[in-house]
Amino acid sequence: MGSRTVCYVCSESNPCKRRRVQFDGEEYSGEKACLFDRLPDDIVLSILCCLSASAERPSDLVSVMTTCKRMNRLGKNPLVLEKATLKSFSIRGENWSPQAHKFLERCADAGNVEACYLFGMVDRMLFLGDTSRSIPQERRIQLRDCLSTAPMTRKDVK
Amino acid sequence: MIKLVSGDGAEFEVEEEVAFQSKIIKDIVADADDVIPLPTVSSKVLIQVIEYCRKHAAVNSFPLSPSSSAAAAASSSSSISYSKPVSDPALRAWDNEFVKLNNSSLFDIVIAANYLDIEELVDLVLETVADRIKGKQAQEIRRQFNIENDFTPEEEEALRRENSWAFQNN
Repeated sequence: MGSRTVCYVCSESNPCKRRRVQFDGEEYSGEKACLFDRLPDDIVLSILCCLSASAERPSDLVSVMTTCKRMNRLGKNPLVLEKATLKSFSIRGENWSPQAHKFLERCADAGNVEACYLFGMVDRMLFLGDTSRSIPQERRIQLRDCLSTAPMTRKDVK
Repeated sequence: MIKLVSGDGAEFEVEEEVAFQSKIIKDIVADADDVIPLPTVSSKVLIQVIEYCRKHAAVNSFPLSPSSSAAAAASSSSSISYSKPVSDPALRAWDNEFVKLNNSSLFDIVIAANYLDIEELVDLVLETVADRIKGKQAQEIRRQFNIENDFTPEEEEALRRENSWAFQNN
């Protein structure tokens, strides 16, 4: 670790240029600057990792991601999503939406084991009865109720 | 004894085992003299960091033999370790008291601890900050950390739609 001048986190070609402010406590107290501006991306990422690894509800991670652009970008980092707890994507069937599905997919892509399992189950449910084509988005939503009840025993998923 | 010099010129004499809680100081001492300038750390922060190191040095006061440090290096080779529990409950309680600081001071400490490579202190502060974020709404988090909302109203609306699933009663 150590101070880095170039952001190694975002894959974008131009590294993010965060305003770095003198981190002397006294100089800071009165100012209205974002506290996170003082932290390099790797430390903020570690905070988000701690948060996702102990999240108790989906909104724990999503709330902080909606505070500003930087948090939104860092919150989507695979390092963070990989550690997300099962509770951070536990969604009741009736609240299931393509956006929630997308989030789950991102976690699974990041290598999150719980998400991979859940995502696999979801896709499996949708393949029942039709394995020939890729799944259209509307059909993904059809499985909504299945997640809150025992998925494998449902017969009416077509 | 090792002498640490803060960014504002204050000098602090500390015992080796206290200073060696910082891996970076340990490395510096190995091939340099015993006065270590720390230009980016203010004396206010350094006092707090030394306080932490002193406490932890006293508790984990076993000599780091080459074999045990090698084992530690091997076990912590995978970048960052999360929520590594501090085994001693009394020390845990002391840590919890130690981090009862405002966010600004905590951030100063984590920057210094990261620079000095004091892994346990970095983890402690990161977990504390994560706990302070947890369970709050975006607006509360912004207020708490002075985060400026840099989304346009359109972007915010799009985000709200994208993330509405997370805010229903799950």
